[in-house]
Amino acid sequence: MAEKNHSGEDEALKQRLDQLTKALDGKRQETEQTRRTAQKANDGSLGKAMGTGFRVASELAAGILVGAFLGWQLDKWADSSPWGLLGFLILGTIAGFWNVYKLAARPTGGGKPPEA
Amino acid sequence: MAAGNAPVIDPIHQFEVHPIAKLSLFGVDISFTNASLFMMIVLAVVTLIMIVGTSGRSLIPGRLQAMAEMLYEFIEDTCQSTMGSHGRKFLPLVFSLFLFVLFSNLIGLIPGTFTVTSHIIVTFALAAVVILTVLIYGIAKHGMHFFGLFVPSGVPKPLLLLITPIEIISFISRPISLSMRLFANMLAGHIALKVFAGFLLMLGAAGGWFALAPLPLAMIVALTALEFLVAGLQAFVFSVLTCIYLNDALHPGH
Repeated sequence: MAEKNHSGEDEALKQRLDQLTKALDGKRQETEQTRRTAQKANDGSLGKAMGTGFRVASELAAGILVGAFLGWQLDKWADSSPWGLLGFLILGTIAGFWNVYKLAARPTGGGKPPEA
Repeated sequence: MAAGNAPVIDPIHQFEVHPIAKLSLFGVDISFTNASLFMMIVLAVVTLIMIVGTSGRSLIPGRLQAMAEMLYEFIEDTCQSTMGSHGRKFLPLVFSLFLFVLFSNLIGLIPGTFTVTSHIIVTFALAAVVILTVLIYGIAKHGMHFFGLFVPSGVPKPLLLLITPIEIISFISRPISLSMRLFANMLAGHIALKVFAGFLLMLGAAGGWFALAPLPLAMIVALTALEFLVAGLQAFVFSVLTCIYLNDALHPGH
């Protein structure tokens, strides 16, 4: 690339620097663009977020409901009112929160990788 | 869509099941109802789209073929990412459930139709199919090892006494939450639409106040858009959860 030997080297270096800067700028623009398109694709994640929200709400409610039902039936069967209901209501609530915790701790959508 | 012909607005009326043809078998009422009719319609629409959509098999898909292929690829992706390649045998089940739920929801949005998925017995039956598949397949494949699902590894013994009941309750709550979520969303959405339609009617009948009528009308338009989103979303969530639960049957023991 260098045409001259002495000060030409400097010139060539400068040219190379310019070239590299240009290339870098181009690359930067490219990544910016891909980032933007990715963001656009991410707008579909509103749906995913809503789905997760619905899941959290129903998971919590279902845990409590199941706990209450089990406790109520246990009380009816063992005549232990109200202790079965109280105990299972607490257990059910914990189960509901536990489900929500598991939902939040595990990346949604992808799920856990299958163990072979 | 606007509530009935009477000034009395009954947002629940749309969910009433009434027999079209009365039938009974050994004393059990098996009448053909409007719910059965709409399930048939859903099945017919799904079958039609899938059969007609896949019959062309052109390299450049037409609209129907593109739709059928997109639906299939979407569910296949979901299955693959949740269950891995072992889950392929459940793909038909997940795909059928997804299509049934999706098209019940969407057809229910057409004014004057009946929304099958707004009845908890329907959604619970679907959830029961999923959970029974998990139980039967899990026990058949892994035997007693399947119940390791309830005993997380690496937990000290005394804590297990507490964790195991919680895990069992959390397992029982799965079909409940699965069916409740779908049913509640569809029910609530349709009631909200009906109520706002009722406001519109009342304002229209209230003399000068009818100037305010565009407000609930705008709300109905917005809610309808939201309902379309919810219809697709709930079908998607239902199939994703089906995949996650089936994954537990495939790979119990975290």
